[in-house]
Amino acid sequence: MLKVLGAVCVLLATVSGFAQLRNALQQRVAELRDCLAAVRLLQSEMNYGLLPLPRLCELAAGQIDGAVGQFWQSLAAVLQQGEPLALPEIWQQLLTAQSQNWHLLPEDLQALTELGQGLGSSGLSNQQRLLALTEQRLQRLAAEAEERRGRLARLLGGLGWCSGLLLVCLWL
Amino acid sequence: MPTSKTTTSSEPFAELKALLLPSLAAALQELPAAEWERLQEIRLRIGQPVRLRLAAGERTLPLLWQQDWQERQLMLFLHNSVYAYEEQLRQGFVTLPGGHRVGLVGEAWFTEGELRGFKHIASLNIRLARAVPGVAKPFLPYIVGGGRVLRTLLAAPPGVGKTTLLRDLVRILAEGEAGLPPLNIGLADERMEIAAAVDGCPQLPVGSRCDVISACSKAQAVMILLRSMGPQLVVTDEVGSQADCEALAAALNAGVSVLASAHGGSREELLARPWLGDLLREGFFERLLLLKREPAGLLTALAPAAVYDGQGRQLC
Repeated sequence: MLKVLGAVCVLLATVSGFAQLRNALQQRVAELRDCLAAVRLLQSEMNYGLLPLPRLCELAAGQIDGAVGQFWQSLAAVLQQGEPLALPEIWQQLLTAQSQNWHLLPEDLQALTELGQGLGSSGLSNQQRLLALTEQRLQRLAAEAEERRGRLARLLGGLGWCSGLLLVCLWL
Repeated sequence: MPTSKTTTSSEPFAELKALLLPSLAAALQELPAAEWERLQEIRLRIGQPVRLRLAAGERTLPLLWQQDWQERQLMLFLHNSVYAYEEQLRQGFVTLPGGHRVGLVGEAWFTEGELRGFKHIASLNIRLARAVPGVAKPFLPYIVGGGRVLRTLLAAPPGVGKTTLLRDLVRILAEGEAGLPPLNIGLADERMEIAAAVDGCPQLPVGSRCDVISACSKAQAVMILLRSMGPQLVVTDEVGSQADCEALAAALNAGVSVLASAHGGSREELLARPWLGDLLREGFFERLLLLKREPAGLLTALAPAAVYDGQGRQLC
């Protein structure tokens, strides 16, 4: 009886471990899409409303859920307080702190870091260029993440079961 | 965001203080309340101590202004959003909540021969805006006559209080406190100093019947106001160019009175100016008020230095 119980536990552990990996792939896609939505919102509101950055961050926080929305909310709060640090520093500190719980890869975070380096610091045409460039990068990264998820998700699901069964067989 | 639409704190200049770097705010914290009342400008030049211009002279603070502070201070004023203030930056100033104006200069930056703004900002000049309700009341007998507002030019050298006076005149006339029925006033506030609108809301009191066009050339703004808002009085600040004077003349043709201000210490000085001088000679302005203030006086100490009628006769 104990052996059966142990086998079930092993099986559950491997399946859930691989499910987490699969979930991370899905989360990365979702987070990149959220980042992309935020960048598009910045593009349109900056272009047509000329709204200052604290207001743009508030809008982004209101329209985007989850971890990425939380990042914009924190940024809006810090900017509204009139924090004397330069924006790139504020951005980087928040990104470093909050991305601990994200599922983005270093190249994704690099694209966001570069956005933070230039955001708000130049005239409208340069900001448009920066946002367009970031949009393109995020689109490419999101497409790549999507393709990777599609390729690996089923494999990871199968691997969970197979490795679990293998371990159970070896153990029994 | 810090661009509050109205002053919510009773502390003087609270909106401005909230936008200052901690080092500068701490240095200014040492100022006694009496000096805050006389404070007119805060000048920040890279590598130089912070200097204050007071009604009674100048004061140097023991704070050497650093290059990186300049950039951070400017970005705080701009809410980290250069793109949102591009047009103001091109003109060399930014209007802050509360109506305070930050002038800035540095290395001029041109694109295709057109001035786009400044980079490497070397100097910031924070000019503090004050509303002084009631300061214009002693001037009313000079500008109201025959049951209407006479076409009036207020003139004084910079820093005397023309804009403060103009703002209070607008408020009084819009609220009907001048012995006239309340007037619908069109205000062309090119430099955003009179009403100091932020997000379209005047930060300083200009009365409840005042329509404001901000950050638009005076000439264009006056024409738009005449065409679209049906004002009974058009008000604008610091007139002088040909386009400004032509727009004022258009107001006359529309049967609308005009209240304007200009830099100038004497009638002769104003007459020597190309377009404005012509308007004065032709009797366009029915009143010319030259203003004075005691050197150490507060804005409440404003008084007419001389008043002329349209024919150039000195009335007082």
